[in-house]
Order: sequence, then C-alpha cells, then structure tokens
Amino acid sequence: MPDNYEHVEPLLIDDSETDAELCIRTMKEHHLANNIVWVKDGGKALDFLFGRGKFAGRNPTHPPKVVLLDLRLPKLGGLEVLAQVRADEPLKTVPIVVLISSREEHDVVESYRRGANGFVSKPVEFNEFSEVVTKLGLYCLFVNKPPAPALQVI
Amino acid sequence: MSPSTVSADLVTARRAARVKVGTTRIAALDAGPGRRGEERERDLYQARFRALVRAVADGVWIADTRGKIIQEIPGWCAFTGQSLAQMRGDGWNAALHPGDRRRVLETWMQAVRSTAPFETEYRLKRYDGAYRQVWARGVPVVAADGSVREWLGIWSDISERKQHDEELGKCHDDLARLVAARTANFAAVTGQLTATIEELEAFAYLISHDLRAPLRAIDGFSRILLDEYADKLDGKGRRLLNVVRDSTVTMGRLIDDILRLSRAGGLEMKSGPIDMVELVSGVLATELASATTGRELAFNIGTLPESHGDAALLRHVWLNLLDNAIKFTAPKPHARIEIGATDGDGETVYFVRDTGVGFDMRYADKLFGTFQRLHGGEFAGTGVGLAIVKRIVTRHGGRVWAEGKVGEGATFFFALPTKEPT
Repeated sequence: MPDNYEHVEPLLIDDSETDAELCIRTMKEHHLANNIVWVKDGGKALDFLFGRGKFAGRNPTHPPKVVLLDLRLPKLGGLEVLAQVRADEPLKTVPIVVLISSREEHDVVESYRRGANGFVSKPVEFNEFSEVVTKLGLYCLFVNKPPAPALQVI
Repeated sequence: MSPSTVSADLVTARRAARVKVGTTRIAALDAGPGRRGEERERDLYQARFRALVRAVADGVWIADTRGKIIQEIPGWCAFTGQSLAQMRGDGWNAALHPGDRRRVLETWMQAVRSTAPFETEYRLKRYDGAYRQVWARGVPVVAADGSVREWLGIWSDISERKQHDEELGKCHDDLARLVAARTANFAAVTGQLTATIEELEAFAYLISHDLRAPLRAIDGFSRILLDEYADKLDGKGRRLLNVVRDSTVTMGRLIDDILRLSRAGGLEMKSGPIDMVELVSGVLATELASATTGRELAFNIGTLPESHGDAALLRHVWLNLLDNAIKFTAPKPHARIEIGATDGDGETVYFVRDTGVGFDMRYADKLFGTFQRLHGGEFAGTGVGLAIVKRIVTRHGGRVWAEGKVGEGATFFFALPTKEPT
C-alpha cells in the first residue's frame, strides 16, 4: 500500500479518459491539488474510500480532501456512490463535487438530495471549479508549489 | 288508466257523440226528459261503451272481484282459439304460460288487497300454440259506498314492441361494446404513444450526453494544441485547427437544441395564465439585450392579450421568433420589428413582423421542419428553433405559419386557442 494513498487530496471518479485528462491538466496547471487519484468506476471508488478490495489496508478515516464524482459511471453509478459514502460515519463529511455534462435539473436535484456539496459542469474549467472549491471553503486545495507526486491512475 | 280517467273518457265520448266511431253509428242523441229519456240515455251509454271497446286497439276485459271473467272479451277467442265456454271457465288461466302464473297471481292478489290499479306482463298462448308477450292493466270499478264492484282492464299483445325493444337493446349493447372496445384501443394506443415519447426523450437525453463527451475531448484537446503548440504551426495549420474549434461550438449548439426539442415535446406541461407583454419584454431585456445593442432597430409592440399555457415554453416561442427577427434584420440599416396580436375565430393570433431579408414563400412549408434552413452560413443557426416553436404551439392546441417576401421581410404567426383547453 503506497504511503501517499493516505494523503490524497482530490479523488477523481470518472470513466472518460479524455475528460479526466483535461480535468487533471487544468488542476495541475493551476497548482490546484496535490496527489490526485483517479479511479474509473464506482466500485473502485468505494473500495478506495472504504479501504477494501484492492485498497485493503488504506485507512478510511483519512478521506480525500475532495471527491470529484461523475454521475454516469460503469458498474456502480455516481448517485449510488454518493448514497453509500453519505451513509458511512467517517466519510459522511467528505466534500463531494458532482461533475455534470449538462445542467440537467433532475441530476442536480437528485445529487443534492443524496448529499452532494456542489456541481461543476464538464469540461472542468478552472474558474468554475475554483469558485465551487472556494464556496466549499476548501482553500487547502490551493497550493503554491507544483504537485509533489505524479498523478496516480488506478 | 284510473277510474277517474275512465269516466273522463266517457264524458269525452259523449261530447263527441256525433263522431263516427269505427262503424258504429250512434243515433239516439237528443234524449228528452222522462222515463223514456232515461232508457234512451242507458242505451246510449251501452252503445257508447261498445264503441269505445272497439275503438281502442287493445282488448278490454271485465272481471268480478274474484278474478272471473264476467263479460266476453272481444278478440279473446280469436286470439287464443278458445270457445266462449272455455273463456268463461278457466280460459285465462289455461292460456297463461305456466311459468308466469304464480307471479301474475301475486300481482292480482296484491291489487285486490290494496284495491289499486295494477299492471303486469305475461306470456299468453295464442291459437297456434305460440306464446305471445302480453301486457295487461286493470283498475277497480268502485261503487258509491267505496266497495269494489268489479275490475275493468285492457290487454294488448306487445310481442312485436318487445322484440323491437330487445333489438334496440341489443343494438345499444353492441354500440356500448364497440365504444368500450374503441376506448380500450384508444387507451392502449395512447399508452404506447406515451411510452414512445418517453423513450424518444430518454434517447435524446442519452444522445445529447453521449455526443457531448467526445465533443468535450475535441474541444479541449484542440484548444490545448492551439495554446501550447501554436508556435509549431504555420498560419494554415492554425486556421485548420480553428475550423475544428468553430465546428465544435456549432455541434455543441446542435446538441443543446436536440435536447431542447425533445423537451418541448415532453409530457410535462405546466398551465396557467400568461402575461404575453411580460414574456416579450422579459425576453428583449435579458437574452436578446446583447443582440440588439449597437443596432438601429425600432421595436413596435402592440397590444398583446393574455393567454393560457406553459409560461416557460411560450417564453421560448417568443425568444425564438424575436431572435430570428433580430438576426434576419441585421443586414438592413433601418430595420423595424413589429410585435402584435389580432383576434381570430376562437383564437388569438400573435405575430412578429420584421423588415429583414425575408424568405421565398415557395419554401414556407420547410420553415418549421427540423434541421431545415432557408439561409446558409451568413446567419447562425441550427434549423431547430422554429421546429421547437411549432412543437410548443401545437402542444398548446395552436398553429403556426409564416408569410414573407425575399428582401422585404417576414411575418411569423402563432395562434393560441382563447379558451383554456380542457
């Protein structure tokens, strides 16, 4: 278990490689985050967050600073991930920003109902993302130095 | 027929004494006073009674208080084939269908107990052995002391009427079944249609999502290419890349429009009173504000009666029509846009008239088709706007049309029913 899994700042959950690459690129460009972990489906996301399966041993009481969650995911959908995370005591308070590809009222309402903290539309643009992050009080995501470890794709 | 009506009929018969009734001519009329006069009067009554019996199409019967026929029933023997003796004996009971005897007897006993008129139906055996449906009615003949002297009544063969009734009833049932079948069929078709619409909407939603994903990649990566590799490209290369970027913008708009179009035909429609003036001024002050700035454009807004419908959808209608008017007047230096309404037959006709580039009336029917464009690249657009307008107006029970002339302008009309659809 790599040591830096314990100090993940943003956890990106998105099955689209191009979307993820653009998102990560934007964040790196603006020194927005250290130690990004990117997972491609809902099941892996929950394994990571709960420290089980492939991530057995990871301490679930050290959640990421923010979770960027796409709603349309293979296997386990984003809304289900949201519900399971919110049902768990230590993870209850982890900030979750939902990534949406259009301002679909239904998705927005349903995500809020299940405990999303905010929304960013795809493609993730720096201005919109920093606005949401600021609103959520996640100033710790803004770092002045370039990210130390490279991106980890799982 | 109650006892009082019987006597009333007799009075009427007396007044009409000179009238030829059947073939019986009543001669004794001006009866003088005295005993001879009374006899004549009695003869007259008897003759009149016989005439009355012949006059009514139904048979007449008179029975004693025990139900025994005490006077010949005209037509009875011919109908039943019974002899007079049989008729006076148990003729009535013998002709009565065994299955109806108990019921008819009960009706009779009840009438006797209550001394009230009665009515009944039963089957009666005809001379040829066929049972006919018969209707009978009886009223008590009451003496001065209030006691029932006898019963008088009429009977009638109603088999044919009954058959007609049955046929009519059958027709009615058939019709009811047909209507029920059609209604069920209609409900099924409506259900299928609803399901199809829902499927289409879901499909449009999916498409718009799935198309957007690769588009984001083309957009994002081509921008990175422009940002980071611009110095490695010559002017031609950069132009080509910009064509790619512009096309992604157009495609993005198309996808948005498909989604909007699918929503315009959606099932959910809110309904309420609509202030059209508010919609028009709202659209002009917000979405279209930037499109009109710096333009020499005169707006002439006439009286716009209130309407009824979905405010958000109708707002979209105005937005599309006004956006078009602003867009297609752009090449004209002193353009004018007139917004107004006229009263139609059961509808209000709203219109947007402009002095823009107009269109060829030969293509007027293509205007409201999906992805149909009459103007090429010089005007932005995806050809979905008017299709959405049509869909929204049609969903409100209204209609759309347009008039125009190349180089002189166009008028777009939409008519909405004045009454709220039920």
